[in-house]
Amino acid sequence: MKLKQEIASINVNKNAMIGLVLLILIIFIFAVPAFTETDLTQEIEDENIVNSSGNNTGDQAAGLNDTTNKSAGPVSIPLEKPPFID
Amino acid sequence: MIMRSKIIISIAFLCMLFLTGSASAAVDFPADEAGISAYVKASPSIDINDTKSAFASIECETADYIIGTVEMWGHTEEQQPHIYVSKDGWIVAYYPNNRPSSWIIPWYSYNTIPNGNSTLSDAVNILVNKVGGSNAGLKYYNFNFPDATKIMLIAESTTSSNYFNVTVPNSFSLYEAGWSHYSPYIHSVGSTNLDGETFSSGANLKYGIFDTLTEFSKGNEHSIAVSSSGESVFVGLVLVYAE
Repeated sequence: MKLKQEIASINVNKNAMIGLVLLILIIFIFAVPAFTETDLTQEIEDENIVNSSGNNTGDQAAGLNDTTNKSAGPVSIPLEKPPFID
Repeated sequence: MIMRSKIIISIAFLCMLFLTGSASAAVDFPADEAGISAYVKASPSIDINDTKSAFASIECETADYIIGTVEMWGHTEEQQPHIYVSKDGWIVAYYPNNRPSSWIIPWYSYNTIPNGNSTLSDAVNILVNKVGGSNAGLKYYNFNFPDATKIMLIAESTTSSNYFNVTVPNSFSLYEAGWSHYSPYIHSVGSTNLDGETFSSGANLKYGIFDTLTEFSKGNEHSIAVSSSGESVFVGLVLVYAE
């Protein structure tokens, strides 16, 4: 009888451990990416990847009505597959 | 004790199913019609009925999502991207897959290009503000080129002549080199050229692509120039590539 109780106790602890491991796994899978998402602004001015040059490239951009000659960019933006697409 | 452990395991599986479900939601997004896109999970859920007033036109409406266009200052109707809003919180702005990525250049707010702004992000923000959500984590994707990992925007303006040079390394994969020519003043005579060859001229807004094998090949420096007879004329280049 005592032996049966001990076996049952071991099984209970084993099941509880499996549950705990699964929970930790879920938290790890879904929480880690949330903390490692990149900010788009960090990718701006990534001039080393594609080289570009010009007489004004990299200057502060002008408004549409500005009559001076100015450049905008280069601006590099990462592409990432949406999670809602198979 | 056995019951408690079973409950824990059940909860773990339910959490897994719930979280997986929320990540893969966005019902019936028309991925087969979309090209360059910007998307964000603006909110855990959206009452799509509350978003209707933000739409200039509605193309498709179901109980789960709405697809339409939003009014954008400085844009023609053709320039307005399509917007998808789903009840599970996703907002996606996209251009149809037959349009080059250069449609995202926000000519009406040229000075925001260095901040990473685009016509798509501006369209998403209209809906984000409407639902009181957040645009944090806004991302881009091009459904035409699933292997592409980056896009690059470069633009130039002039009242006389101006240019920029670009070299795409041979080790890169170049999927698209899209251009846009914007000449908003009808009295201005402007033109744009690639390596000395004119590819657009006149007063208007035009979009196109360069052939990446012949016109805009990798490993060679290419010069894009813009000229004007007096008023501001703009040229932009959008590269879709992978390192």
